[in-house]
Amino acid sequence: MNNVFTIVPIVVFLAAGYAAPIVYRWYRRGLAPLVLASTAMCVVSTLWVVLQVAREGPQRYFMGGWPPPWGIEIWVDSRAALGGITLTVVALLVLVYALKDSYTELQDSVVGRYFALIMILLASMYSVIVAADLFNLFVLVELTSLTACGIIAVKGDKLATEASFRYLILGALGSGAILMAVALLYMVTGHLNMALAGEEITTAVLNYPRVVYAALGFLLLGMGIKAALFPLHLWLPDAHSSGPTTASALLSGLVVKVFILSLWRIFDLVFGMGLLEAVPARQLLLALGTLGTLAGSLLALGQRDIKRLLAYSTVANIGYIFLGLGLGTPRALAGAALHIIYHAIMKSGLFLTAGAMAQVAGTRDVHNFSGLGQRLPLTLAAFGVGALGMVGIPPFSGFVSKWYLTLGALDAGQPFYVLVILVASLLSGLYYFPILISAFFGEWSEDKSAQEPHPMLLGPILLFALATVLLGLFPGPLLSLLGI
Amino acid sequence: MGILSSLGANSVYFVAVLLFVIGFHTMLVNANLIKKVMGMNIMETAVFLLFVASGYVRGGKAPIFEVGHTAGSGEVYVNPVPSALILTGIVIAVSITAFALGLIVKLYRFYGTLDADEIAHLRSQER
Repeated sequence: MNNVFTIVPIVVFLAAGYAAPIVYRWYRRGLAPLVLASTAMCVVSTLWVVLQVAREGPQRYFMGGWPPPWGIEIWVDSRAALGGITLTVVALLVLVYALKDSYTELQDSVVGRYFALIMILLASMYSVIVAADLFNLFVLVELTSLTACGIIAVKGDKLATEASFRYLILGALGSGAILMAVALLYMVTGHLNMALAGEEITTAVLNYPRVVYAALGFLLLGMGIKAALFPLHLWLPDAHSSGPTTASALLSGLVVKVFILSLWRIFDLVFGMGLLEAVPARQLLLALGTLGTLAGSLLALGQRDIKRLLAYSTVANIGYIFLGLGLGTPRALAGAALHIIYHAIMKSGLFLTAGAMAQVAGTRDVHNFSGLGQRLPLTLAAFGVGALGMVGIPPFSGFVSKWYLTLGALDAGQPFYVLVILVASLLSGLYYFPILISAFFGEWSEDKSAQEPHPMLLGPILLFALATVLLGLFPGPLLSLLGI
Repeated sequence: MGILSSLGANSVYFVAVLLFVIGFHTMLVNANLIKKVMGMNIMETAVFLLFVASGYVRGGKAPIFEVGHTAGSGEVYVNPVPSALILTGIVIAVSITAFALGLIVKLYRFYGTLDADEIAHLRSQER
């Protein structure tokens, strides 16, 4: 019953996080082995958990050996297992890139602390995915927010400091709302464990309907801010574009998804689907998801800074995921889960590629990338694969998730959302294709030498592109684990 | 009369919600960065108050048992879980406040002001 492998990533990431600055200070060359070995260990243990979940069903761990309602429970179902493996694998690739890139982007003195923050961020994100206790979840959400602000602020310039502050303040608003929801749920159910609170909620909703609905509202507000659901996304473009390249990749690829996964878990375990039907929660998610996909794509169209463009595209893709959650049919939910995984991979890859391109071109302005494809064919090919995947062109992975979202919309009898997905995909084509066309067919105006980035930068970029292709061609294992 | 008496019985929750709204409003509307952080603290305190109050039982004792003691039928104890949780919550609030104040010091060094609107103005001029 107690599967210890479910908490190995938490312990190892945390330990590596605290060790990183010390190792960096006294034995600088030890940093890379420490970071990579610990992350590889987490990948292996998560992979083992995924296999066990596929074979035996959900895995649990009771912290300190105390079962609920006294102890804190760790619960890994198939969605959490997929989220965990995505998190650890993406983290491994981003960290390889960071081990080279951080020395050029950051001052030497803060590199050790930067890695400490990243490792603690990874530990807290993994725990948010697997937490099955409401208060424990709140603490981990706060830890995630704090470290996420930290990896932006570590860059230390005006823009990063300001973006980090705004992220922190809005994040604190979200945390306050989440804690309020936890308090209200605890008051009416008497449990902090999600499954036990879920058992009590049917009586609670009869006795105190307003308290339960207020809790739902606070939860949606809090998680909506953290996950950048459309009108609450205002902190995202600055926060995701002003940090170091690797921080952007982690924030856009993983951090926002983690909150969606935990919101989804609370929906499933605590509120249950029947209660969500009683209030227009689904309609709200559908409306905000629709607005988010369209507004995010339109705002991305107007951006010249490649990192801001990618950040707005994240707003749009969060919209797709909430659309899937709002539609609520099995295939739409599978599409949403797939999109969480695929977007994590594609967007992290795109941010790393954009960082490498911006380094060579000397600017983040998309108009100055013309002709870059002739000088850096591999890098731009990887960017092309990521961009095509984001648009949803068939062999690449974005297509599969959008396909399932579309089927889900048809299952729900709401073909309007098929149109939304199509229009938003076309819009995303409108901002990705000009970059690709000018990069491959434009003139290389400057006469400075340009060459492919260092292998430690190029390797992760190409692996992300490869994953985008392979997961698009063979989505079978993921789908079978999700029960489709 | 019914509303008034229920307000009286639930005055703690009423005050908590009032504080929450004050804090929320200050965070969003006030341009002064320090006041934003103060608003954040007021809002968090409001939630802490609500959480701790939910565990209070009128006339209850501290839930400390001596060895060999079994609870009699007339004894009432306060629920200790919310207080223990809020201890953690306070630690988190302190660390977030510390980080926010650190960032404010940096922003003041960059821009020479603590006014969010003025900072936005200075930023737009730089572009």
